[in-house]
Amino acid sequence: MASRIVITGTGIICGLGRDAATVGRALRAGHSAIAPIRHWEAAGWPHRYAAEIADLDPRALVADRKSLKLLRRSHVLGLYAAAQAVEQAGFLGQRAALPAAAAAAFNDRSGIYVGSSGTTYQDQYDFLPLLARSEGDLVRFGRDLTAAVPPMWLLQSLPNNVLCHFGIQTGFTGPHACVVTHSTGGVLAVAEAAAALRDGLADRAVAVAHEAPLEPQTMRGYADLGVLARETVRPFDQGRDGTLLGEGAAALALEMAGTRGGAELGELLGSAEVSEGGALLGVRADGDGLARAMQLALADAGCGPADIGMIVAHGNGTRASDASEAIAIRRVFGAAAPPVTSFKWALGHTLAAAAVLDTVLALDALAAGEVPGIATLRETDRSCQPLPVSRRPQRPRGRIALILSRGFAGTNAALVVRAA
Amino acid sequence: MAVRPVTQTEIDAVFGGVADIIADALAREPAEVRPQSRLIADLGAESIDFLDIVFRLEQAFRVRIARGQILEDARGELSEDEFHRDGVLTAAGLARLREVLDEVPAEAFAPGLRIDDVPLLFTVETFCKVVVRAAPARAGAP
Amino acid sequence: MSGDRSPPARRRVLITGIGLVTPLGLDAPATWGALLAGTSGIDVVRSFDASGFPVRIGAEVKGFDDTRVERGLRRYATRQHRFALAAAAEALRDAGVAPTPETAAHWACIVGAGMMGVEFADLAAFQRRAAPEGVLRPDRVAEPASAVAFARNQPTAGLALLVRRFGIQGRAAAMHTACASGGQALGAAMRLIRHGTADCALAGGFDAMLNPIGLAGFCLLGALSADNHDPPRASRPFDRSRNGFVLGEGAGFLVLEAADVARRRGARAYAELAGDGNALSSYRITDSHPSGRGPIEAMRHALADANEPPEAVDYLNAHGTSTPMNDRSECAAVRAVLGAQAARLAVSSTKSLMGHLIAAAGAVEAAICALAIRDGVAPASANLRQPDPDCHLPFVTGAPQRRPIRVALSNAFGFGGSNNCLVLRAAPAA
Repeated sequence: MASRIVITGTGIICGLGRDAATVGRALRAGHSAIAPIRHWEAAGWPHRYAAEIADLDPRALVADRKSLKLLRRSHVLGLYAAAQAVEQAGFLGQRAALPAAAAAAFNDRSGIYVGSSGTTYQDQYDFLPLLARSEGDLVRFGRDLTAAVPPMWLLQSLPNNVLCHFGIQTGFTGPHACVVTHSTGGVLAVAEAAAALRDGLADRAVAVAHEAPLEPQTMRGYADLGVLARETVRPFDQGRDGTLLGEGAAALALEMAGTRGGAELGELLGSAEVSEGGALLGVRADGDGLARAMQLALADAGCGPADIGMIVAHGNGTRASDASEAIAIRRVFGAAAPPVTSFKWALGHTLAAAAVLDTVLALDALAAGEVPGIATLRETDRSCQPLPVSRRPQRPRGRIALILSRGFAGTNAALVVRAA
Repeated sequence: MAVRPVTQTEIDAVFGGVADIIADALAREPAEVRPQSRLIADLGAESIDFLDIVFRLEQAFRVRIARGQILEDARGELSEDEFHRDGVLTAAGLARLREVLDEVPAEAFAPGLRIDDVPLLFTVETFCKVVVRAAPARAGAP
Repeated sequence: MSGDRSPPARRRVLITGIGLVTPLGLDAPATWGALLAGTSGIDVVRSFDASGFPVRIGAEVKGFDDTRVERGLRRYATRQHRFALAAAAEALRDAGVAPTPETAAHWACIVGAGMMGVEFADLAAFQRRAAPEGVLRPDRVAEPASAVAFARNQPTAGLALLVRRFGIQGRAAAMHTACASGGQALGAAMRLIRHGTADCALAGGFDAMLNPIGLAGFCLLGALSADNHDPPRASRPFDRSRNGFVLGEGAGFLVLEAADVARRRGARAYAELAGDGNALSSYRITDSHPSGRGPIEAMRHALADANEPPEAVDYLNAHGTSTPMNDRSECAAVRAVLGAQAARLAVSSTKSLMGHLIAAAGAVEAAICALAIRDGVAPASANLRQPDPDCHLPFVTGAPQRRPIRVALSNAFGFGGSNNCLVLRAAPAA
């Protein structure tokens, strides 16, 4: 029997708040962070709604002020969430009690796993003035380069910046990974962390996912794909018209059970991720990949469908994804699915961060004994029936949650966690 | 002397701007940034910070500062071999460096000083002098 | 030393196919041949006008034929993706196996993906449209644009093309830890097969930063050799006069199979992918710890994972970027880990001839180790005329060195402090 992987800390920052209790309360009250974009001028855009984090001050969120010049918005969010999880788990306090050699060994056995979608378009904007000035003349571009672009551009744009900086911040030197896979990157980071723990390569790990996609070119891209809603995300609703993006980060502090008897928030039971190997950006109508991911995750968790107390669906509000997701859930759970919800109506689609945000909030929901309703649901799409979604809160059927996630490259992922 | 002398008046004229930039780049309180503050030992700079500081100085003072300017100023007409050997400054190189970095206490220029360790000597005043000596940017450059 | 040292129940992972698109050649045989012949892939940059840049040399992939990429996928594939698709196709052909509808769910695709967010031509077009004066005008961005350009420039595009092209339906993941990406992707794929999550994997790395933005990024950091006057000599790892790395591009892919699966179909194996070790430096943003801390732990963990002692290592393909800092700290690390064996093994950095392929480097160099094991020859480390006294290791210089290679190490240490080491071992007898 494999040892248990327990969750001893969480971290979260998103449009509805900067800790799990606050966000959970806001969800249960039916609040949404989706509103017209404020931090750049979006007036006149047909798709200008998103779930922003208001009043974001990086200096208040990151401990090492000097590192701020090397960090983008998304990295700041990731570092904040990861630090919150580590703080709650008490890892650094645990290490402080150790003599030097044992502390070094502690670091060697502490891992960091990061998931995000990767480099953003915004990273290239530092080159816009130079491009404008050089007017297509690459000789001028090259000549004026060092005067026009900050020298640390590359370091600011590294996809693995959170991994790098959190390592320096904590001193953790153990196994690690940085997954840059659209949407399922968060689950993959958690899965890699779990694998390292199970393989005995680490005693503890932080898995963090972060995303800040609310900038013009990214939003333009999603609009061009035809997946953005006008102003509301209505998962599984008859009249749903697409998804909206959000920014945020979330983290889980994981360790092997029994190493020190700390307070457990829950347990990571299992995970899985697969690809449909088909369309580059779309989903299969029969939800095959998602069904397989669920089945593999349940098997990994040693659970059956009847063990699942609630499902946090991907529920991104697009016509195609929600329909195929409902089919996938039906295939795995039959007519006996537990309460299903989704949080993207409130937090937006936070891409790689979504599943980890959803996991933190699922643990909060299970602790509160209440599955938040989908406040924007008016009438469940008939083709999604029978899916136990509701505008109203529901009671979870047990202490185990299943969290679903889907992304480009036909990727589908599932996480299974139990609340303490 | 290989480089032109810099007067205290000239240093004072640029100190405020230079200190602000260094404080910002190294996330220090302005009060911590004094003329004799050593960038690495006192203010916590690492190699990437020097690139950042030089860029910001260029932008703020509208000058061009070549990478490795200080060592180039010190080397002057000496050949590479006459300036350092196997990574260690020669006696002649050390003497030239001492002239250029005359704001740094003499004890810092011990025989055996490695060229890689020269940045350890740099103070805020060092960068004030670099700015004063720097060429004005070409017209049309930012 | 006995080769059969793994704990009984653990699945072994074999390398049954190799595909390479590099500055030295457009496929694996060409690359390997050029490497052994000491041909340099480093030259003046020709694919765009770099004459105004501080650094004007690089290791370009020369003469890549875009028709190697299936027509229907071509507009969704930027340069690095095209390299990936070609190298992956070669690896599968070489292995004589491919995912089928029956096996697809048991294939994983794990890649080290290059970081470039937008192809230069697309970025330049975007600037003209949306930032004509150099400042982004959101109202200009509001106008509809090409979804195809978005699709090929979004970071998961490479992975999407690979799983689509080859019909992979198991675990799919792209990772990025700068120069450690390719090595870590291979290690992650190896672990998936060991755990039984996959039976086979298409694993590798791809990158194409040799474009105006990528070149600019590294120029700005001062990390590149500016020896524009003598390109073939610019990359000289471990040499006293080394002054920076040379930016390259390309892709390297391996087909990995569980040993039992490979044997059942009578596959031939280049080598076993036997061990993977990772450690974070957590030291400074770009500086390496002079003691080699970080790389030391990665190498130790890899050897432990492979159940091989230091004295078993016959060949090391070093990270060897030709930067003053990396090469010195890497040599310190190798001496610390290998002890007496540090004087006996063969060491080379193939970056001396092909430059630094960034996210692809770890995968390409692991493939080179597999070829070295197969052929019993260690490629030379070119341009090593005056070894740095601080870099004291038995480098292969001049001609390649013929010697049996049972165990090889491949190092990949990245910006941001990720350190990866892979252990390859001669394939166990069937």
